[in-house]
Amino acid sequence: MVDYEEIKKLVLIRLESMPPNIKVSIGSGKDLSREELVNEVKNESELGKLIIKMQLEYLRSMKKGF
Amino acid sequence: MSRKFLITRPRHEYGVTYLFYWSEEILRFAKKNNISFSDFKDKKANRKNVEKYLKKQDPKLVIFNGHGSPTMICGHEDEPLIVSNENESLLNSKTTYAISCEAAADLGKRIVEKDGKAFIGYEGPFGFIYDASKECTPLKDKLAKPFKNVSNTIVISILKGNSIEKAVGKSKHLTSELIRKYSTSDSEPGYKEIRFWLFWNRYFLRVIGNPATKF
Repeated sequence: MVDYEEIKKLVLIRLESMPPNIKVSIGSGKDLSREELVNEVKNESELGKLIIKMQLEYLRSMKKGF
Repeated sequence: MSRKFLITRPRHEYGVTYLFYWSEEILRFAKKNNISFSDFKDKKANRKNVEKYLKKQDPKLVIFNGHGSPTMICGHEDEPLIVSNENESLLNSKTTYAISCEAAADLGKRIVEKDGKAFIGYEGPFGFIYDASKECTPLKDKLAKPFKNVSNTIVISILKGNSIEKAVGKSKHLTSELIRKYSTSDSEPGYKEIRFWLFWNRYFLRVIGNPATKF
C-alpha cells in the first residue's frame, strides 16, 4: 500500500527542485510557476490532488518501463 | 467531402501561443503536400467563423488548439467554439483532434455518439512545461519542443494517410522514446519535469470512435 503522504512529499521534493525559469501550462490561463505548483500540492487543491495522483501513476508506469 | 482540414489557433496568452506556433509545422507539411486547409488564427478563431465554415465547407478533419473543459472547446479570448448540447453536431462525419483540456471526457464522446467519425483529445488537463525566458519565442524553447513533437506527430501522421489508431500509436511510442531520452540525466535542468508532463499527456490521451478512420 502506497502512503499518500509519502507520495505528496515526493512530489514536493520534485517540484521544489524545479528550475525557477520553468513554468507549467495546464489549462485555462493557468501557467504556473514553481512556487504556485508547490502551493497547489501543499494545499491539496483539485489540481494539487491530481498532480499527486499522477505522480503515483508515473511511478507505477516507471516500474513497467513506460 | 473533400480532403481538407480546418485548424483554429488563438494566441491571446502564453499557453495557447505555444500551440499557435507549434501548428506552423503542421501547416508547412500541408502546404508541401498540397493538402488544403483553412487557418483560423487569432481573432478569426471565433464561434461565428467556425460554425459558418463547418456548415458550408465540410472539412474531413478539424484541429482545435485552445482551452477546453469536459463540455466545450474554446477559441480566441476563450470564446466557446463547440459546446455540448449546442453545436457539437457540426462535427458530424468528421475527425476531430482537440489540443484542449478535458474535452475528451464528455464532449468528445457526445460528438462521436452523434455521428462524429472520431475524436482525439485529452480526458484530463493538457499540460506542458516551458522556459519562461523563451515565452516570446516558443519555437526556440527546448523544454517545450518534445511536447510539440508528440502532439504534431498525431496530426502529421493523419495527414500522411494513416489511421487515427496508428497516428496516436506513433505519438505514444514517441512519448516513450522521449521519456527514455530525458531519463539519461537528472542533472539537466527540467528533464524530470519533461518526463512527468509527457507521461501526463499520454495518460489522458484518448481516441474515441472508429480507430480505422483515415483522412
